[in-house]
Amino acid sequence: MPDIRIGPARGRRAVSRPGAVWALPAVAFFAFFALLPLAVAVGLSFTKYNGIRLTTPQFVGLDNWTRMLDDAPLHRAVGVTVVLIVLAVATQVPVSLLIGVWAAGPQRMRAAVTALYFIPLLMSTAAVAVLWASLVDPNFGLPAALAPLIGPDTFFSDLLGEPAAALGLVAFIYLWGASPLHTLLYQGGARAIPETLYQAAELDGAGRVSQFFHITLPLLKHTMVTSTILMVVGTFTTFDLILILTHGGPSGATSNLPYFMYDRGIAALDFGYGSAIAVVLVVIAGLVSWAMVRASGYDKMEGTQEGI
Amino acid sequence: MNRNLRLTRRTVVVGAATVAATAACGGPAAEGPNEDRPEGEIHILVVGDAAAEAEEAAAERFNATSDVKVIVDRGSTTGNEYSTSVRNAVGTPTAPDVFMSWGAANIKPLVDAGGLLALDEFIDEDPALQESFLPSVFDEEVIDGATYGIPMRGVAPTFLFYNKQVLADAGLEPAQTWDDLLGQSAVLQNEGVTPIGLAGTDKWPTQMWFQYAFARMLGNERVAAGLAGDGDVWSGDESRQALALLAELVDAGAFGDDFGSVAYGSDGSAALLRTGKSAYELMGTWYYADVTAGDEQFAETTLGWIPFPSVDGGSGQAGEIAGNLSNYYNVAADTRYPDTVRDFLKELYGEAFLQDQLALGNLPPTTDAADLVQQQADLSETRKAYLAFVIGLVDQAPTFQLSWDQAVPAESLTVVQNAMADYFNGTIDADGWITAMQGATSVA
Amino acid sequence: MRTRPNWPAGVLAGAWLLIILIPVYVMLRAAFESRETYADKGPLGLPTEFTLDNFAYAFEQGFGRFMANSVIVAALTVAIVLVLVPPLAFAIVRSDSRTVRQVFKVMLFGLAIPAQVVVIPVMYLIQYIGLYDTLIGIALPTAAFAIPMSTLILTGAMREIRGELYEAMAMDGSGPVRTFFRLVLPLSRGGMATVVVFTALNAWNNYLLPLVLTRSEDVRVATLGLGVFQQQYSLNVPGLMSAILLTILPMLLIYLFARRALIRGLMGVGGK
Repeated sequence: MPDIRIGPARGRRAVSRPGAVWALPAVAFFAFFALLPLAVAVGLSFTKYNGIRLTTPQFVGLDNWTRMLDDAPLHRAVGVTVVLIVLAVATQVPVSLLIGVWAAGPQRMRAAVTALYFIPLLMSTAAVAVLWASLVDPNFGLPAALAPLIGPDTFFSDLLGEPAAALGLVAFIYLWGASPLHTLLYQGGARAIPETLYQAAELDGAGRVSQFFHITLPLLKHTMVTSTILMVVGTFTTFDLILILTHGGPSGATSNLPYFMYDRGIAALDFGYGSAIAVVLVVIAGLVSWAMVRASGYDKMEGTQEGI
Repeated sequence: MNRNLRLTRRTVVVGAATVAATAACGGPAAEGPNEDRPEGEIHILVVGDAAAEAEEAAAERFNATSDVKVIVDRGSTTGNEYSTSVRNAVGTPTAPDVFMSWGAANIKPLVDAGGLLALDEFIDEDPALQESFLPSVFDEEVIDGATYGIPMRGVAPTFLFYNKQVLADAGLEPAQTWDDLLGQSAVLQNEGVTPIGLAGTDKWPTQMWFQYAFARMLGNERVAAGLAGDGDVWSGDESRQALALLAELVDAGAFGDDFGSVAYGSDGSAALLRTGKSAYELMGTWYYADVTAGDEQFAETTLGWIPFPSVDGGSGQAGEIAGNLSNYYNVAADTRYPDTVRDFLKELYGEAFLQDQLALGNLPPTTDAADLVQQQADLSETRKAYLAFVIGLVDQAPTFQLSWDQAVPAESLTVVQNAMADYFNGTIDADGWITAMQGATSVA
Repeated sequence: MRTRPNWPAGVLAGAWLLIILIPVYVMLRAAFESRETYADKGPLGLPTEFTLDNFAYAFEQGFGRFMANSVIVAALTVAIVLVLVPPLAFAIVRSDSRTVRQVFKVMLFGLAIPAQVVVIPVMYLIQYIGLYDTLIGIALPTAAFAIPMSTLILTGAMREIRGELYEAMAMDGSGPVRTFFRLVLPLSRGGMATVVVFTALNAWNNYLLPLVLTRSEDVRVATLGLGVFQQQYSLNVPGLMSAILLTILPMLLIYLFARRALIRGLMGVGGK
């Protein structure tokens, strides 16, 4: 392409770049409907409030905050959250990546099959919880159906009753239900990779695996960041499934931080404490996302294919 | 990061302003009718499950002759969520005029905040509003001498169900004492059957076993004292004996190994009894409908029911029961049309409404329930016998203890449930359980 | 991508598909069976009965109306997001202003806001502006909470538009508006399709906001309507599954339509 230097550089740039006013409507809208309520929650975190509209929140200063430092079940909930996130990333990234890349192929059948993969994502959490509760029932669900193959009293017989098994089950259900989302993202990202690159690589004699690692993965970097941020933050803040399926059990083994916030905050008529935990949640999850963004250079807003 | 600091500062300022605003908006109860409420209508918020049909029918009947219309809104189906939404709404113009509760502890925070209307004036004008209901049920929501709730839906004590066929095959008679249960467990396990079905995931079925172990060992009067805050009840000898009994039953394999993964809602435990894979289950009045949902004939031929067995050496009186007393209707203190509410409440002991409840499988908490049962043409003879049993159980009970999680302060509901489940799966021992209960019942 | 079939990958994909579909099978079977038959066989039995009674019951209970409401809420939410977020994403990706780029950071934090805690203040807010018990009242906060994720996805799509293309537009004398409509939007069709699908899905399956923000039957959405299949302690599983099947179908259709746009849209990028 010819070297374009017509006109004053600054003037040319100013003409085609959007100003801050482009961001204003979305930011104002978001500030009103999301940040303002969050500010109320921040305010409530300095009070003792039982959630009844007629009563006044009592200002208690930093009590809720210092309480968090000594609350052992809270620390455990943080641990559970971390475990769930690690499991989520460890399982969902490989599966979504591989299926997504596979689904990006031109074969017709792949497109039809991908539509089927999507179904778990379409189900609401209530539906998912009911289905899986039936499936893990020791007497009538999968453990019973598989008993002829694997014997009657196995690891799978008491999935909701054993702490590690319950946590694994939750992580698996997340994988089952959320991987379609990430598969879609990876599929879209993989579709954007020009065929010419693969053809050139093949001419060079690169095998399929080598092409995957040297072409596909690097060009999916930004998709990976988007997907992983959504995955991490999503796992951080979700608790509907835990509420309906495991009720935080057995004995707190699946009580992650959001569930804990609900159980000890809202359900226990202690909105002040719940709000404090919520603020911590937002800050930590936000910082983790920001760290990922900075570490991967995502914030430079460059395309992956600049210079190709 | 200038921008971020500005954002943070702005957030803090906004946050402080909002707290101030919230503080200003709160305050003592709205006295008297709230003119901001919608005109010409009152709203009833019911638990949004299938049983709401009865309230909807009642509202239709009422609206035919009333200027002020009754509108039935369906809320959440989960008790906890429902109660939370009521608490969050009371005092605002869009709050319901009439809503449901489960017992005194459930509404105590609202009573303290002045959000509920005392119904004694209504009762003075229409004594039947009180007298139609069973006293043991009615008195639950009388707090500090004032009545706040009228019973509705169904009285639901818990008792032991059994599968006649399974017991017959094992050569056993329905258990009369706790020791019977224990002894029969071994026999039933040999037969390849889970002796007692238990939906451990949901925690409240587990709680039922504590309710009866303690009712038999200590008697419900002591239990009530403990639930009201007397910590010595929980640490006393009889309490420890009750806990030991329960541990023995669990360790003997009476509930099977996998009860922690069985859920009640998706038919996990009812199916066990129905298909002959378990012999007993401790459940409430509603169980009849759940078990027969999968097999209509089951109740006719194979379903049995007995009062909970006695415990040798226990201080409890014979016939003491535990379970859910009823649901109750409460009235918002700032309702705009108290007269309409008073008139609508009359529906609750009216025959049409009570018959609808019966048809849904609920046993009305009224003194004439026995007659109603006989009059209901749609009920089978077995069903009528069953309901007669329940009525007799409630009539003859010297005490009727409300489910513990509904009897402790609302803040401690999940703590209590968790303690029950944790004890059964061995996470906490007797001392841990006692500490948990003392903590849960001492919340002011 | 590849023109030769990739057998190992295909096998793995097939295996994963089976795992995905087992619960779906349970749902499908239950939806078409009566309560007695389902209770008899348990979740994993083979289908022996086919009945449409559950669906009939669902519609009798007003499910048609509830689904229509869900459609309206989803449509409104998507509309709001499509109006607000593309300009925002464009600004984040292309703006010179450092302030605007910081908005991206705000969105990352916004992604983490847990719904449970802010839903009460949101309710007061909606009551305050007089939109309690309306469908638009549900759509507004739902759209607000969908903004962070949509921003993340759209900035991801828009940043792939190469600088040379912007410079070409600038050479033509295009201002930001023209560039936005002629260059950016068409080339972000894939990202927009993804945003439409996820925002619609989120709005469709949302339970908490409708629960708190509505009470009347005529604005009840499908997720709330599922309650008719529940008793206080137990569920009518086949009935529930039939209702869930009904709620899945529209979303599946949206996904199928949007997918074509997604594939078509992305073919253009990089080829220029």
